[in-house]
Amino acid sequence: MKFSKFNMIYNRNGSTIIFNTLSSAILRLNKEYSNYLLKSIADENTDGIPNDLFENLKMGKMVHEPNNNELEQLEVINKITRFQDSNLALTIAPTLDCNFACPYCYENGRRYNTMNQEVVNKTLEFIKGSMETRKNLSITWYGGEPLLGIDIIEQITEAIKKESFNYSSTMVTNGYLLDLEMAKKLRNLKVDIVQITVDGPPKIHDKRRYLRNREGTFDILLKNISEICDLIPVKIRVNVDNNTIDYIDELFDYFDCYDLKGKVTVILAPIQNINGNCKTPGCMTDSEFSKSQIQYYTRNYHRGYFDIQVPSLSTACCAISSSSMIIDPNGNLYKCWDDIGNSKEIVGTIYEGIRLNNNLTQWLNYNPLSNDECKECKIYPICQGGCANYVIKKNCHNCHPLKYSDNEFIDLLKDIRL
Amino acid sequence: MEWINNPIKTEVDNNIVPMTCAYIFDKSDTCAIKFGGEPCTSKSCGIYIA
Repeated sequence: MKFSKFNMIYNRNGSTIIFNTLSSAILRLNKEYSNYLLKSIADENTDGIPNDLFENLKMGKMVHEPNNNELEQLEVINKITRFQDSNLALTIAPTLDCNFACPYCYENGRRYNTMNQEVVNKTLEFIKGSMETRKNLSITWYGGEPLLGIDIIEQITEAIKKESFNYSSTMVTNGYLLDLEMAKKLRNLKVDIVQITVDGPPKIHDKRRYLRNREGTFDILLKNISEICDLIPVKIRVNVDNNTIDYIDELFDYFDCYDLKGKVTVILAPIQNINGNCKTPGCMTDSEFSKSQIQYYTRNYHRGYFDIQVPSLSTACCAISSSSMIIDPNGNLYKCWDDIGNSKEIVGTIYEGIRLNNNLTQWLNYNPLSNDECKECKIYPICQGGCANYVIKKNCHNCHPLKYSDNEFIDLLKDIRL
Repeated sequence: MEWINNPIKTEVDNNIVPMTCAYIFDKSDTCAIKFGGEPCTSKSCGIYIA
């Protein structure tokens, strides 16, 4: 047997922690077993390992048959998942119009169109045609602000509900119009979960996520979230940058005041300069975000708004899948939602279908393992090259936060679970 | 010797996706992990490393 190339080893006061990023297994060994393990790794020979340790290492995929090639296995999994043909995942923007004017919005400068009746009809034809050979359809309602196009969402959903394939949907909304009545409507439209962004306490949020007339939105959002969270699951996304990260903890005090504990989940996301549109000065690098995120986890995990979980095997970016597509209000098709409204990135239309142009082939031919650094990276199974947009458009990499804070993450997990 | 994260439990319980994705979805009946609406490589999807 051979040791996995995805083992990460940590020494903690004589004991050893071994973390395999392919299986997400994490095993702690006492000093005696640590010695066996470290000697075997140094000798590149598993023969001297006691049986019980060996069986656990095998279960955690920390050792494998010598003729197995883990990278090749990952490549196959990546392809099977990307090119499977039973599901269709659409992201639909019924409008690019928005009632907010966030300074960091990457859609800034794009035209604020809304779907007309012809596009709605053609979108439905496109969906029905695409689903003739598929079983499952999922739609993410996106924008602009999708709730400004609720009539369009209703029209499309009611037509889909009459079809025989399985259907589910989610929505990314700024939440301003999402009161109890709207939430009831969304439930009826089979929206399973909504993601709402709150960027910090009022002094931060209201300076970043304001209405077009610059009026703040924090109070309305929290009131709406507290009213709807029993009816529809809510994920709260907190966008952070170097200027706001220190104030984020205060947000939980407000959440407590609105009695949100146990009713919503909170995720942190970095504000990064995706396409040069970011107007905030504190955009984060991957390593800055990583370090901030782990500190935030450490300070706040006990507050009941998120779980600390071990990242697991992924297929990376959804834009590289053949069955994933974005539809804009004009009926143009894109692969990545960062490109929505950008005519240079169109990969087809709902009228003519998908074009086998360079815009499309660059996504579908993308192979994260063509990068030597990724090939050697121990985080690769849970990252798989990260956001393909960074590689394809910017010739750089967007690495997983764990790459920069694995030591701190292991310590936090150990403290929580042992 | 003790598991900090048990590999067998992990295959069905984890719902973490890379932070590069905009969404994290909850478990559904058919797939433990979803991102961007796409099924993941969890055991329940039938694709996993044996």
